[in-house]
Amino acid sequence: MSGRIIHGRSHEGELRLRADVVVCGGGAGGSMAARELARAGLRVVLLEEGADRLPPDFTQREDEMIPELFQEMGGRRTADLAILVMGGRGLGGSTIHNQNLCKRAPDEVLSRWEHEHGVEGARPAAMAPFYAEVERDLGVVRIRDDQVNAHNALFARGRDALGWRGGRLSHNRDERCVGSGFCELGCSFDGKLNARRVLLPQAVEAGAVVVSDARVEGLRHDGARVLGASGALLDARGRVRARVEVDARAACLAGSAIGSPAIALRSAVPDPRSLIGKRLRIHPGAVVAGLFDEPIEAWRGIPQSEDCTEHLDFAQGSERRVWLVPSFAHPVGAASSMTGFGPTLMGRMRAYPRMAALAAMVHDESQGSVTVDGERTVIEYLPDEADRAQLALGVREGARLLLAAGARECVVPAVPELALRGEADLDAITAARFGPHDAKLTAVHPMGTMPMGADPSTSVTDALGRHHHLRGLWVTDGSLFPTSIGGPPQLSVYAFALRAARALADELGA
Amino acid sequence: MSDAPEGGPRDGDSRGGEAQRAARARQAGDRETRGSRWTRRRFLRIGLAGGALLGAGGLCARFMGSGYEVEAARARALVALSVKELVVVEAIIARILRDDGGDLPAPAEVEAGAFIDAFVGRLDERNAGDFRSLLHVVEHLAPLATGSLGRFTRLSGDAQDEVLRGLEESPVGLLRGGFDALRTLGLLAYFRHPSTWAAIGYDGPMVGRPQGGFR
Repeated sequence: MSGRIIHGRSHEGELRLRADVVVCGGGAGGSMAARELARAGLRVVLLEEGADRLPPDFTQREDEMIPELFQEMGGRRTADLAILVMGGRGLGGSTIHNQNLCKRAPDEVLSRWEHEHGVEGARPAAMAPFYAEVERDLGVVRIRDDQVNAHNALFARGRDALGWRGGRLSHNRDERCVGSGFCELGCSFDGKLNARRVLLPQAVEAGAVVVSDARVEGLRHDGARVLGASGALLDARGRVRARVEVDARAACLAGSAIGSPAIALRSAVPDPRSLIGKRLRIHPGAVVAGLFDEPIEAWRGIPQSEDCTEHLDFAQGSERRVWLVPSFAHPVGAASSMTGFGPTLMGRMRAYPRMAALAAMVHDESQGSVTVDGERTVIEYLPDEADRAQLALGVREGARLLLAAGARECVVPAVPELALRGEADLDAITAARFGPHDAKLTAVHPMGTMPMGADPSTSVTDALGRHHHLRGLWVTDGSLFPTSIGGPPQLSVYAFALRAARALADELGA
Repeated sequence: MSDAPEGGPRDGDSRGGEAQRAARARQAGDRETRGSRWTRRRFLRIGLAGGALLGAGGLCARFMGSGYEVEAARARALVALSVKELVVVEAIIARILRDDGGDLPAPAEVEAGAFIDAFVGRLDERNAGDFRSLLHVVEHLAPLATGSLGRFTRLSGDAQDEVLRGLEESPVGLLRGGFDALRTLGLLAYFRHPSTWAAIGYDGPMVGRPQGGFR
């Protein structure tokens, strides 16, 4: 099979393919799986629901790119509408719009996966070679001093003034990056060493057939083994124009921790303990904004180059589970992250150039779920009391950091809005202020809905990602994580997908 | 913090851990936990049922159907919304984006309504239907919560703000969420436009930037 990319929106007629493996989803995990399996000599077909967008397509306009690059046109929320759950759509998935942060999963988390969840081989020393290979392939390097923008320098100033832990981040950009600050809308300058730029071309070179605009509607199986996948080719507006069928002896689910369980549930994949879609973690994040007297123009430059881990402790039973990181947005995103309306909101937006903002992202323990209701995927998630306390901790300490950096006032987008002008105001931020809809929450890291583990009564796949009950079914995305990971997941998604794909290739005799 | 057995897994990979977590949620008598059972489907059924009640009888139908007018050219250009829906959404975003004498352009100047119409046209049927139901709730039902019998579009500006505040602060989570979704769409329709950028000091995309900038 000669490798190629097929654009479903312009393909004539139906598409029927035969493969050894069908990969369902073209994000970080799916792209890595496709590359590895194709390089092992297997016939690989990858199906991705979204479009194939390249740097010339990225206009840097929020109204054009948000609907294009994100699930449900950027409006996907939990069932109660309280939390915005962002996820990528398109060849490259979330690696098209993500902020390129590269961190390995913490040693404590990996060790817990190995020793408490039976994920043999997840311990740090065993995973190190996979991470190293991913870091090499994606050109991961530490962000340079001259790449730190004013916003991140201000964040670092506040962190360092308090003597808090944290530091410079690493990323997967190369010399094409001009520091435009438009990462979240796709890189017009092709500066991201992401799945689309690095892995998918390698997969195609090795013989994989990659199909965009191809929505997987279900896996075909006979209850004992995988037979293939079925779906639809979509036009530019997402309407069905033709069918796509792939006959395959194995399948990798790589549609994210939201999309993968949805496919599995719609396909009636054997699930004797009803575990698929459960244990959803999302890293719920709250925003704190600081208002300064001097212009910062935080939308310019690399968006995230510093972090604060002072309140992020991975020890068992920790009561500090929040990661602080600069988090600014272009005007639509910034205004949407605030609360209020009318002159109050417009007044806040006038201060836009003098604003800084950070996200307090919780290493969550609450467990949500993904279910399906006809064609609709339903996400349910309610932060429990402990995670609400973490949100309060993150917002309180985030405000403290911004005040230490020189903010004359901090604002917490909540209903009603919280305005903080000094240390004395910080005591008002308690868990009680974080009921559903009380504060704006966003989640960008869904994970855990088809977790790895040794025990089929508590896990969906084995330690490598092989489904416990359906022969030929593997999972190669963040659904695999048995717990929250407590930081940016992309390296871990790539690394565990690499590991799973090699194991699958061995099993198929490649 | 965890109820997991000493030294045991704490993330619910044991049935005991999951049962304990569920029990804590029940025992907390958490209002929000109960509120989350207001599923989207229940919310929409109530919204539509309320509308049906108001629409019963020819008199009410005439009342509901009157007073929604836009220029003929704009009406002809609609791709997804009805004239009534356009009038309602423009009334809502006029309050959300009100600037009271400031230098920001009015929503009409950036054709926010037309943008929203086109956006709704790209939504799948279910999401588009949800959006229409939400407009219906704002126009006919939300004013009732503030003691007003009138349609939203016929209220004074202050009364409209009271309705929107009521939605933003509603004890019903879905109403809060619905308001936030409307608000977000209005902000997308507004701050997408280069004429809004100068007033907020934003220089816009690097790609396609005209000489001299957008400002």
